[in-house]
Amino acid sequence: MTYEFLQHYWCFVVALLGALLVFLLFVQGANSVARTLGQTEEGRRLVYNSTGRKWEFTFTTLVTFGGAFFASYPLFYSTSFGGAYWLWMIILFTFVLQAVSYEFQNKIGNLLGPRTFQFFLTLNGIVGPLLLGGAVATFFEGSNFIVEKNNLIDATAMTPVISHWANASHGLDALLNPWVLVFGFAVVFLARTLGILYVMNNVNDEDIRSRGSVRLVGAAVPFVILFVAYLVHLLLKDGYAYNDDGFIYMEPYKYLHNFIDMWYLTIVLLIGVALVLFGIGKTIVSKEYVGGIWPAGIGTVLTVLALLLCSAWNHTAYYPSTAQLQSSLTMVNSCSSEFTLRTMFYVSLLVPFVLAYIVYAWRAIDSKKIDREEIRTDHAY
Amino acid sequence: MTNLLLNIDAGTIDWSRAQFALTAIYHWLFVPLTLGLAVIMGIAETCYYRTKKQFWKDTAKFWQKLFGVNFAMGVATGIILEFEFGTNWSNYSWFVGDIFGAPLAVEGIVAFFMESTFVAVMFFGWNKVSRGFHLASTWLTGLGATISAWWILVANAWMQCPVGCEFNPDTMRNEMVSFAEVALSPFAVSKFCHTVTSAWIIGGIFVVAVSSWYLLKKRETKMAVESIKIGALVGLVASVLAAATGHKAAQDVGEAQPMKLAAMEALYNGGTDQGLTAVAWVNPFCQPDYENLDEAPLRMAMPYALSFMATNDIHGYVPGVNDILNGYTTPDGRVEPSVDEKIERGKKAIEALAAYRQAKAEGADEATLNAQRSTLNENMPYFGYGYVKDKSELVPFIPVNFWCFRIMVGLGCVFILFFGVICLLAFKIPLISVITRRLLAAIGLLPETEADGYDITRLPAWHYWLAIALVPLAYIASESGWLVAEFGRQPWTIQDMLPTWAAVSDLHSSSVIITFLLFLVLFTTMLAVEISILLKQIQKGPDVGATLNEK
Amino acid sequence: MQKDSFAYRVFDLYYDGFKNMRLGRVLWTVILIKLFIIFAVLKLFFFPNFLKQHAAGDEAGYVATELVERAQ
Repeated sequence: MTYEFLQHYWCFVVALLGALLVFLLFVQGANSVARTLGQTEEGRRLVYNSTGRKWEFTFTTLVTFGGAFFASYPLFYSTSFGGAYWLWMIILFTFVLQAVSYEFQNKIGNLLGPRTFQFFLTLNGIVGPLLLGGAVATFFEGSNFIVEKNNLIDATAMTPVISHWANASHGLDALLNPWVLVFGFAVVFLARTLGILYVMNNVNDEDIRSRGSVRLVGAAVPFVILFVAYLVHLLLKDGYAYNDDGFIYMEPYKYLHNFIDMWYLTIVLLIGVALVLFGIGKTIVSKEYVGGIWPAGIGTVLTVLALLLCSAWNHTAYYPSTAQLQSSLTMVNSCSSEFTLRTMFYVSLLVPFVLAYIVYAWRAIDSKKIDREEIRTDHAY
Repeated sequence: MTNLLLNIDAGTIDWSRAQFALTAIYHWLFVPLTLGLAVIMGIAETCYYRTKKQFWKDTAKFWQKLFGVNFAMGVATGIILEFEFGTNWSNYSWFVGDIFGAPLAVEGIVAFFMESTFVAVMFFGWNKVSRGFHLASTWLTGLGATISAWWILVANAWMQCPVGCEFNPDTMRNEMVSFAEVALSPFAVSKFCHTVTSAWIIGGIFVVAVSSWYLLKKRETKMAVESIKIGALVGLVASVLAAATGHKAAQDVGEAQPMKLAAMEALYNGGTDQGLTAVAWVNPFCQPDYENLDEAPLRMAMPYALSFMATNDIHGYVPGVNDILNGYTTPDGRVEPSVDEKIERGKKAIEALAAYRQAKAEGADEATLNAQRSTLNENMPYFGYGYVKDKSELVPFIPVNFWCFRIMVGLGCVFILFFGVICLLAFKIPLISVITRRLLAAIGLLPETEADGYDITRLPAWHYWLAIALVPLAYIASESGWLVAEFGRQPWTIQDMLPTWAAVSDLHSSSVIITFLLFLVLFTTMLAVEISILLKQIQKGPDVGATLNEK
Repeated sequence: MQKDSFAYRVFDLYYDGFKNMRLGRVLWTVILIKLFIIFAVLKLFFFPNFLKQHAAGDEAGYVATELVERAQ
C-alpha cells in the first residue's frame, strides 16, 4: 500500500461521505416544502415527524464527513473552515436551529410558538443545501485563499497562520460567483426533490402522496435545468491541474479530460443520472408508485461520488485558489502523513459494520410507515 | 479523424459521417422488425391454412396488423440515405458508379414492386381471394422485403470488399465487369445471411415480448401462448444461425478487412495462436495508445479462439494494428506490404490518373495514354492510400468497434440461452422440459408449484418483464452490429480505394449541421408518434372473429 | 364490366380495401406527411444534387479535379 494509494483511497472515502450527505439532505429538502406539502397542521406534523426520525443521520454524516476530511486532509480543513468561516458558520448555525426546532416546536411552554420553529426548519431546509452546494462548487470554481506554509516558522510573517482568506468576506465572496449559486440552487432543488420522494414513501397518507406527485415537478424541473447547466459549464471550463512536481497550472477542458481518462467514473455518473431520472419520472407518471426515493437516492450518491472524484483524482487540484494559483490544494500537498493515513485505513475497515447498524436502525424506525394515527397517539414532535 | 491539411471545412467530414450514421440507425429501427415479423405472420397464417380455425386467422391478422404499422413507419426512411449520397458524398456516389445504380434499380423493380403488390392482397384480400393465394401473398410480402435487403447488402458488401469492377479514368466511375461477381460475392452472401437472421431474432423477441405482456395482463391467453411458441422457435433457430453466419462473416472480414478485425478485438500486436478477447480495460471514450501498448490491459481471452474464428485454424495468423501498419509476413509466406509502401503505390495511382487526364485533354497518342492507364490499373487496389498523410488515420476508432462487438456477441449468446429456455418451458418436449423446469426450480428461478407443469401462463411476473426488457437490448445488439461494420471500415468509404476526406462533398459544415439537427428533431418526433401508434394497437389487442379487413 | 373479370376484381380489391380502412387511415396520413416532408421539403431545400450544381455538365472532370486536388 503506497502513499499514493492511501491518498486516492481517502479521497474516495471522503467523496463517498460527501455523496451520502447530499442524499441525506432530503431531510432539509422535505422540511423546506413541509408547509405546502402538509397544508393542514396535522399534515405538516406528519412531514416533520417523518423527517424528524432521520435528521440525526444527516447531521452525523455531516460531522463524519467533516471529521474524515479533517483527518485525511487537514490543510483543507484549516484553510476552508478557518478561512471561509462565515460560510461554514452559517451552515452549522442553521443545523443547530434545526436540531432545536424539532424538539421544541410543539411543546407546552414554548415561548416562540410552533410557527417560529417551523420557520427555522424551513430556513435550514433552504440555506443548508444552498451553502453546502456552494461549498462543493468551490471545489471546481476556486476560492480566495492564500497558503503560506512557511508562516509557522517565519518570524517576520504577519501572522503565524498557514492559510488565510485573501479578503474580508471570509467565505461569503463565493456566493458572488454565479456558477456557485447555480450549483447551490441545483442542490437545493435536488434536496427538495429527494425530500418529496422520501415523504411520499415514508408517510402513509393519500393526501400528502398525491400532492407530492404534483409538487415533484416544481422541484425536479429546476433541478434538472440547473444541474445540466452546471455540468455543461464544468465540461467546458478550464481546470486546475498539477504535474508530478506539484506545480499547479490551468488546463483547458480539464474536467472533460478527467471524465474521458477516468471513463469508469463517467459510467458511474451516467448510471447515477439515469437512476435519478427514473425515480423522478416514474413517480410523476405512475399513480401508485411511491418507491422513487430508492433509485433517486442511489443515483444521487453515484452521481455526486463521480463528480467529487473528478475534482480530486487524475492530478486535479480539488481546492483551487483564485487568489494565488500555487496556493491551490491538491491530494498530494494537503494530506496527512503516510503513517496517519495508513492507521486510519485500518480503522476505516470498520465502516461496513457502522453502515450495517445504521441500516438496522433505519429499518427498525421505519418498520411501520408514519400516519395520522401515530401522530395523535404515539410519541411525536 | 479529420485531415486538417485539406482545404475543405474540417467539420464537414465528421458532421457528414454523423448525419449518415443518424439516418442509417433510424432506418435500421424499422427494417429488422419488418423482416422478422414477416416470418412470424407467415407461420401464423400457415397454421390457419392447415387448421382452418378462426383462432389462427385472428392471430395471423393481429401480427399482420403490427407488421403493417411498422411497415408504414419505415416507409421512405431509406430514401434519405440515397439523398445523402448525392448531396454529402458526391465524389463517392459518382466514383461507385454502377454498383449502387444497378442493384438499387433491380431492388426497386423486382423486390419493392413484389412487396407492395402482395402486401395489398394481404391486407385487402381476406375474403376476396382464395385462402391459398392469400397465404402465398403473405409469404411473398416477406420474400419481397428480404430480396430488397439482398440488394442493399450487396451494395454495402461492395463498399467493404470491392470486386467485379474496373475503374474507368475517362468517366471517373467504377464500371461493373461481372454482375454475378458483385451480386454473389461471398462477402455479400455471408453479410446477407447474418443480417437477415439477426432481423429474425428481433421478430422473435418482439413477438415473445408482446405475448408476455398479454400474459401479464391475463388477456388473449391462447394467442399469447401459441405466439410465444412460434416466436421462441423462430428466435432460437435465428440466433443459432446468426452465430454461425457471424462466424463466417468474421472470417470474410479477417481476409478483406484485417484492420477492422484488429480494431474489433483491440488487437494491437497479433501473431499466431491468438486468443479471442472476452473483455479488456479499453477506455470507451478515447483511442488507445496501440503503438506503445503490448495489448489491452486486464485482457481476459479465450485461447486460440480468435485464430480459429478468423482462419478456421487454431494456429492461424491474425495481424494486429501495428502489424498491419508496419507490414507483416504470414507463416505460409504471404507478404503484406507496409502502409508506407501502400501509400507510395496509392500516390503513383493518383499521379497516373492526373497524368492520364492531362494527356487525354492535350490529345496525346495511344501509347502514352495506355502506359498511364496500365500504371493506374496496377496500383488501383491501393488508390485510396495516396490520400493518407498520417498513418494513424488508417486505424478506426477502436473503442466503438471493441465494445459494440462485445455487446452484439454477448447479447447474441444471451438470446440463444433465452430462446432455448423459453422453448423448453413452452413446448412439451419429453423428459427435457421436465428436467429444465426442475432445474430452474432448484435454482429458485421458478416456483416449486410450476416445476412439474407445462403452463407458461403461470410463470412469475419477472419472467414476462425480462422478455419485455430484452426488446430494447435486441435493438441495441442489432445496431451495434452495424456500428462495427461501418466504424470498422473507417477511414474508407470504399475499402482501400477512397477515404472519407476524398469522398465527401465540399460543403460548408454549417449546412451539414443544420440538416443533422433537422433530422434529429424531425425523426425523434416521428418516432415518438409512430411508437405510440404501435403501442396503442398492442394495447387494443387482436380483433376477434372479424370478417372485414381492419387495416 | 363483368363482375367476375380479373380486372374488376383487382379494382374492387383496392377500392373496397381503402374504403374500409380505419387504422389504415392514420398510417396513410403518417406516410403521406412523411413523404411530403422528405420529397417536398428535405429534397428540395436541403439535398440538392451536389454534382449537378457544381459540375456544369462535366461531372467526370469535376470529380477528377476534386480527387486529384485532395491528394495534394
